[in-house]
Formats: sequence, structure tokens, C-alpha cells
Amino acid sequence: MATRGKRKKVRKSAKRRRKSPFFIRFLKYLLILLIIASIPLAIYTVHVSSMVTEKFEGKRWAVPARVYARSLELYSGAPVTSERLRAELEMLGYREDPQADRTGTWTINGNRLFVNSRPFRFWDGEEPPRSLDVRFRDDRVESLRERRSGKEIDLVRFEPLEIGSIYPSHNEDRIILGYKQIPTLLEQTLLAIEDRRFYSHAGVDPRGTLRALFNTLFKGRTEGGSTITQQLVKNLYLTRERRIKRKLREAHIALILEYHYSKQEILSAYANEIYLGQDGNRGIHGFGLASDFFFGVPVNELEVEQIALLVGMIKAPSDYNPRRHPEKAMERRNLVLDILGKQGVISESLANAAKQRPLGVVARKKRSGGGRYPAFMDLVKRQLDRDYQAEDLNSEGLRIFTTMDPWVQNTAEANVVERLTELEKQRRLPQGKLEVGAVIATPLDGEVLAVIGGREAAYEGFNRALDATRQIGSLVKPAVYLAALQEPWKYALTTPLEDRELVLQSGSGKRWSPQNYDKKEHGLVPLERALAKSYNLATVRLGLDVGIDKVISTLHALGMSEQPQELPSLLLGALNMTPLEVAQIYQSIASGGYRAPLRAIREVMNHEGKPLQRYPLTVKRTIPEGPVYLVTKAMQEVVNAGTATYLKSALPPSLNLAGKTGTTDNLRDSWFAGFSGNYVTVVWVGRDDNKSAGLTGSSGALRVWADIMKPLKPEALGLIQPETIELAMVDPATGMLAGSGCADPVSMPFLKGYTPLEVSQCDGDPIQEMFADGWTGTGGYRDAQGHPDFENNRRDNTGGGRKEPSDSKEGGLGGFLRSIFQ
Amino acid sequence: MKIRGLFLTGLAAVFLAGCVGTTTRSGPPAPVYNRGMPGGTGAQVSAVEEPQLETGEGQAYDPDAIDTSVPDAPTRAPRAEVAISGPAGTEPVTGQQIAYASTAAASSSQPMGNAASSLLEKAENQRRSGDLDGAASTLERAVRIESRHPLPWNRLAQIRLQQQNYSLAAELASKSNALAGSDSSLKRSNYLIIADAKRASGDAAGARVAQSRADSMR
Repeated sequence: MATRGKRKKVRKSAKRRRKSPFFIRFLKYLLILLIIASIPLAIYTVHVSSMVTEKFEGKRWAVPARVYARSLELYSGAPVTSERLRAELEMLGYREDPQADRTGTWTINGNRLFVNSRPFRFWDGEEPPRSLDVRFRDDRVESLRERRSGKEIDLVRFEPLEIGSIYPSHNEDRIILGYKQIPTLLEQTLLAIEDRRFYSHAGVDPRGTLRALFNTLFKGRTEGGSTITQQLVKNLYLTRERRIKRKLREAHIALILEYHYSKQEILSAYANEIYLGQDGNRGIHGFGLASDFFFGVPVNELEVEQIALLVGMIKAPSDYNPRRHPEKAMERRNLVLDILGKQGVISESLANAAKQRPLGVVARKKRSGGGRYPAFMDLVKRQLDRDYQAEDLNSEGLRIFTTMDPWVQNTAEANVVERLTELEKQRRLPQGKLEVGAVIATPLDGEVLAVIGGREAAYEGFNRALDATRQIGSLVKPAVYLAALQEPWKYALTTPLEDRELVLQSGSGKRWSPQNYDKKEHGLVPLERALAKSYNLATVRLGLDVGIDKVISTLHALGMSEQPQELPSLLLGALNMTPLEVAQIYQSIASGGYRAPLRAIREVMNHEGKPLQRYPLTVKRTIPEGPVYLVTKAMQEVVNAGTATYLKSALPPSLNLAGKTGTTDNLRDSWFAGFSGNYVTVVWVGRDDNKSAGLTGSSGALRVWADIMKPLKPEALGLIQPETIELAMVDPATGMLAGSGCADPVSMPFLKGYTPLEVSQCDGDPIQEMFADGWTGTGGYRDAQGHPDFENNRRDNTGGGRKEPSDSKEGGLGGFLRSIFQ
Repeated sequence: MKIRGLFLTGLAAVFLAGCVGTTTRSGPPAPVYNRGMPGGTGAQVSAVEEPQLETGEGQAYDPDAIDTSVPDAPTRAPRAEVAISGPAGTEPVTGQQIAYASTAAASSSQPMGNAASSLLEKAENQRRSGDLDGAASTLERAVRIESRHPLPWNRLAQIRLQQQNYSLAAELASKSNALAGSDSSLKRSNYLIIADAKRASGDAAGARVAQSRADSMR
């Protein structure tokens, strides 16, 4: 009985204890409710979190791949002038200094240049810093010595010029700033104007939010109130809408970001992502790009008022665009300067002084943000795209060493515009209409030295060198003649060709009647001259006789990648190619038949300095040396006596340049492709709208070609006579061997075993002589299949007179003439 | 007590939710792209990544043949001659130990400047110490400096042969011959390289031709 009472007492007191005030119970229930509600929120956060971090990481502007030009090498005998060396040093940022005792300085004394080279880690080793004494003579380096000791140095390699940076995986050009590269003043300004409590809040700033809310609701002002983090979220993840839902999402993601990443990471992401303007269809994101775009300087060179303007633009980049609305921009900038002064970021006096300064915005440069040589960089990017998987190149700190020669590139760029303007005046073309595309490469290895995408070389626009597909016209002819010269039993340089009109009829009944440029017929012309003078009629007849399929095979061997139709018009160049593709073809000829794929990259190195990938020097012999030698000789005649004689006066004739002019229908395209000992250069001139420019290859592209090549001081084209070639003295009128009666015989090259058999005494009627003895052309050594052997020294084994091969096509002059009379 | 527990659990859940989303910020170091040399059953070549060149797709070198395959445009579809082949190489390797008759470093009668000479010396040292890629790089520099001299091309051909890049070795040796003029001892060295390359890539007939030319150079 007593225990029950006690229990009752206990229960009563327990009951009394448990009876808590109402509001505490309310809170308890609220808490339970919140916890229950937070579960879906937690799940949602998990889901969003991974997306957020993935995107942040993906955009995490890893240090881009740095792209370098080729480095300048100096050695005794190097074809480098003192001017060129100085130009290169200037590009590399070396300073002229009479003392010239510190790394990165140089000084000149007559023909002697002293320079202290910087060290550089190449893919194949370290190049140490050196103090050099370089002496020049006759456009070459005469000697190279160590300055102090006077000891001779064999070879020196300067550090390569950095020409740009790219993100290999997405090929954008950006000027990305790491946190350390953000100037302090810029950071302080950002904080002062956009988010004062950046470093203390957790992503969302309650004070700021409330204030913005207050202003929006009660003062009718729509204000941001967003933290830097929130703005980053807006730029990165969301669209620019002003809705409550967006704001909530923004805040949510901001919190997540702040949880995962440091303030510095967030700030630098912001500094790289913030939208500051528009350049055509390219958005200007980030201060790195903006400072280049608006002020033409890198971000670390910005003045205080420039920083103020850029930060001021964040609020409304189009409204405060300093080029479009300079007054508003100025007002906004000065407001920012005021705030900076008041907050003590800068002194009041500096703020006042800065307010007086002009905006300082430079004229809008038509220039890409990340590179001085957009046309060449374009080729680099395409080759990277072609040859690499994106994931191969995603590592940070890659270094890409290219084949570009900055001196060649600059020289070419500088010498193009003047001529185009002059041509426009001469031809009374509207100004600015004439465009150009050009490629310069080294014959021996196909390395691309320079790419000219258009007359405004620094403009990242349509890259004519890589993308302007145009009819090549007469540029195709060397391939036709090369195909013919590979049949030496029929054709030699001296073979007379018939330059006579002809009419071709296609299967559908369409008639084609080609004409020479001068609308004349020239009768019998030696093969070499027909190419030199670019006679259409002789070429078409030749090509038809050889066979269009063989011409196409030859074009493939030279590096053409198209599969054109076998139409006679192909023989006159009704074939579309870009300057780069043409350059490939002419490289194969210039190298003596050793095709080397044109390439812009030498090597890719990772951040540890380890070679990631190499493009080895690659050649492939695709045409026998003998015929290539012969067609090159003919191409030298183009310059010597044909359509490019202008070069003999524009450049030293001793260069023995070889080339070919190209003109198309209605003078729409003007081409010249030619080579010296060390350069193969292709130039196209024309109009983008494909209207006639009124220029032939000779009057247009040839001039530009000469302007480009002359200052490069090219080496002479010294042809090496192959073993499969022998010389013979011939009568220039008939192409037959010169007999004792001939006064002016000419030494001509022939494929071994295929020199003319018949002898001319240069005294009778040339035509009659050619008919006598049934002269049918050349003969030579034949293998079991009847194929000519270009490789051996064996003499004629065809016995007696010369037989044509079993397909009984009548070749040579006799065949031509007989065909007339049939 | 129960409420508190629930509350703490809920809080923990919310915090853990945030943690789950963590991805590795500083991931593993990016993989250095590593492509082994094809024909790996043969002698082990230097491990450094070198793209296998698709020069001729394992075709035997034939001095008279014109390559009729249609090459790719310089900026268009992949390959041309600088392709990166997959692990299955295109060079058929005989698997046997190839006796390189041409491993002795050839010399040339043509004079050469100091710059190229010192590079050739450096390349020879690199070759002896097994750094074939380095030797090739150095020789390519020498080729650029003295582009008309046959010797750097010859030495480069030798390196490529040692790297089992047979088609390229043959082409480079051929180029050296084109420049060699009357230097018969160098030409002999080139023909020996060509013969070795053909033999190793299974072209016995071509190897015989090249060998006979080498022999005729004595």
C-alpha cells in the first residue's frame, strides 16, 4: 500500500516534470519537421554536389599548353645576318645594353655582336646560359666564340619564342590567371566593389542578401547582393535570370562550392570566368583576356583606373562598355575610384588623380587573345586534333615545340600588304578587296615555317592558307610534265610538242576547246619551253597522250589527297586545293622526289620535361629522282625564260629559283609556287567573293612571292644531278644530238640511256631532218616487263632502232606528226 | 534524449551529404602518354614514346615503284605519315636476331662544319649509351644544319634501323644516297642499311638487290 502511493507520487512528479512549456514543444516538433525536410535536401545536395565539383574541376583552367616557335641556332657559317639576330633577340625580350653583362642583354659593335643567352630546357637536353661573341660577314655568322675566353663554340641554341598557349582538349585561347597572378590591387578592388566580406562569409552573405532584399522590396532598386561566389555560380552554372528560384539554387551551390574549395580557388575562378564584354561572337571572359582586349596590356601592367573600369564593368558589361558608352563607363569608373578611396584601398589623392585620367582604352584590335600568330596556331591546333586524343594532352604544363620560324613569319607578314595595296591601285580594284594566302616550308623535311592566313596577318579570321580551296590552274602543269618525263622513251625536255588547237568532246556531247593565254598557237615547241611558257594547248595534248590517270597518280605521289575525276580539264588545273595542299605537292618536287608530310609540330613535352610525343623527320621517296630533276630544270626555265622572268630582276638571278605561275579562268585566282635551296613557298592572291581580280599568276602572286622571299635572302637552288641523269649536247632547234656542223649546241640532261639517237648537223630543214630515218624519239634500257630502268647505268638494250613499249602508243615527234596526217 | 539523437543524426546526415560529393581535387598525376614501339618481340628499343610511322604500311622499299596510295591532306583526316599506330605494329618482325652489317658508324669524304660534326659526335655517344631517341633528335638537328650532306641522313637511317623502323630507315638511307655523289663507301653503308631493313621486314628479294648494290660499291 505504501509502495503504490510512492509510485503514484513518482508518476505525479514525473508528470509534472514532463509538462514543458508549449513553445519548447513547438520547437521540438519544428526541429523534427526540419530534420525530416532536410533529408530530401541532403539527398539533393549530394546529387548537386557531384555535378558542381565536376564542372568546377572541368573548367579548372589548368595551366594551358605553351606553344613555342623553333629556336634560332647559331654556328659558324649559319645563314644569319646581324639584323636577323637582333630581330630575334628583340622578340625574345633581350635588352640592348652597352655593358651586356647580364643574361638577356646584348650589344653591338660593328659586325660584332655580344649577347648573353638565357638557359632553356629543350626536349633533348639543357642549353646553358652563355656569353657570346658573334662575328658576321657576308650575310653569315663568321665565327662564334665564348666572350670571355675567346674559345670557339660549335653550336648555340637560343630559347624558343613563346608564341601562344592553347588548351589542347578544347582549343580555346584564353589568358588564364592563377591566384598568384591576380594583382593585389585587382583583388582588393573586387572585394571592395563586389563582396566586402568575401573572406569571412561561407558563400552567402546574409547581410548583403538582406540589404539587397530590403532595397528591392522597399526602395524599388534591384540590386545584386550576391557574393563573389554566387556570381561565379551564376556565370558558371546558371543563366542570367533574376528569379527567386534561381537565387535559391545559386545560394545552395555557392555553399557547396565554398565547402569544397578554398577562397583563393574561388576567387581565381571568378577572375577568369567573369563576363566583361563581347568581341563579335566571342565572349570576353576573365580579367586576363579583358585587360588585353580593352587595354592591350597584360593584367599585371594595369593602372589603377584601368582596374577600376574593368571591375566597374562587372555590373553591366554592355552598358559600361568603354568603347560604346565612354561617358557612362567613365562615370562608373570614377564611382569605383571614389569607393576605393573612401574604403582606403587607395589613397584619396591617388583616387582623385586617377579620376582625371582618360579611359585609356585602345582601339579594338582584331587579334586573338592568346596568340600573335593565329594562322599558324590554327595549323598547330588542327594537327594536334588530328594526331592526338584529347585525353593524351589533358595534363598540365605541356609544352609544344613547333616548326614556326618567327623571323620568316614576321618578314612574310610585313611584306605582303604593301604589294596588295599597290596591285589594287594598279588594277583599280576596290581597296581592301584583294586577299592572300601563303605557306612557307623547308623542302627537306616539310617543316612549316610560316602561314599567312590573310592580309591582316594578326587577325584571327578566315585562314586562307588552310581553308581557301581554289582552282590551281597552271600549277598543275608540273605534274603533267612530270608524268610524261617518267616515260623517257617518249619524252625528254627536248621533245617537240605540238601547241595546236584541239577540240574535245565529252560523252554527253559537250565540247571543250582550250586556248592559250595569248590565244595563239605556237607550233612545235620543245617540252621544256611548253612548260616554261605555260602553253595550254601543248599541255593538254601531252596530258592526253600520257593519260590523265597517270597524271592523277603523279599528283598522288606528290601528295595530293583528292580523288578527282579523270577529266581533260584537270590538265589545265580544274582542281581545287588550298595553298597548304599545293605546298605539299611542291615540297615533294623541291626535295627531289622525297615527299615529307608538312607539319607544324616538332615535339610535345610534358611538365616534367619528358618528351610526350615526337614528329620524327620523315621522308618517302615517291617519284624517281631523274624525272624530278628534269621537271625541276624545266621549272627553272619558267624563271629563266618563261612566265616568271620577273624573278630574275626582283631577286638575284644566281639563285636559280624554280617555280610555276598559276592563273585560272577569268583571272579569278593568281598563284605562284616556287622554291629556292631552303624554302618552298606558295602564294595565292584573289578575292574572297571569287570575283575576278584581273591578275595572272605573273602579275599578282608572283610579285607578292618575290616581296616575301627577297628579304629572306634565300639560298640558291643547287640541284644535284642524279646518277640516273646524263648530259648530251643537242641541237636546240630539233632536240637531236648536235653534230659537228652545229654552231651553238646546248647541253641538256636526259635520263640515262635515253639521250637522242639521231644526229643533226644543224644545216638542213629541221622538220625534214626530223622525218628522216624515221626518228621516233628516244629509246633506252628496258627491264623484262618493258619498264624503263631509271636506276642503272646500262645502255640501250632494245636493239637497233628504238621500239616503243608494247602498248604501241606512238610517241615522240614522229607519232605526233603522223597523227596529223592520218 | 530521443529527440536529441534524432537531431544529431539529422545534422550528421546533412553534413555527410556534403562530404559524399567530394571528388578528388588534385587527382592523380596525368598519365604520361606511353606508346610502346611495335614489334616488341624483337630487341627492346628505348622506352621513350615514339610514334610509329606509317610510311608505306610495311611495304618493301622498291626503288622503281611509285607510291600510288592517296595521301591524306596535311590538315584533314588522320594519319598521312605521322600517324600514331596502335599496339599492333605494322612492321612484320622476323623475330630472329638481325645481324646488322651496317652498325659501324659510317664516315664521309665530304667536309662538314663543326656544328654538325659535334652533333654527330654527340649522337654517336647517345647511340652507344642506348639513348636512340636522343640520338635521332640530335641527328635531325644535324640534318637541318647541313641539309645537303649525306652523312647525317645515313646516321639517322642507322638509328631508325636499330629502332626497327624499317621503312623509314630505308627511305633515309635512300635520301643519303641521293646526296652522296661519288662517295662509294657511304653509298655502300646506305645500301647495307636498306638491305638490312628489307630483310627484317620480310622483303628477301629487295634485300638481295640492295645487297648486290652494296657489294658492287667496293
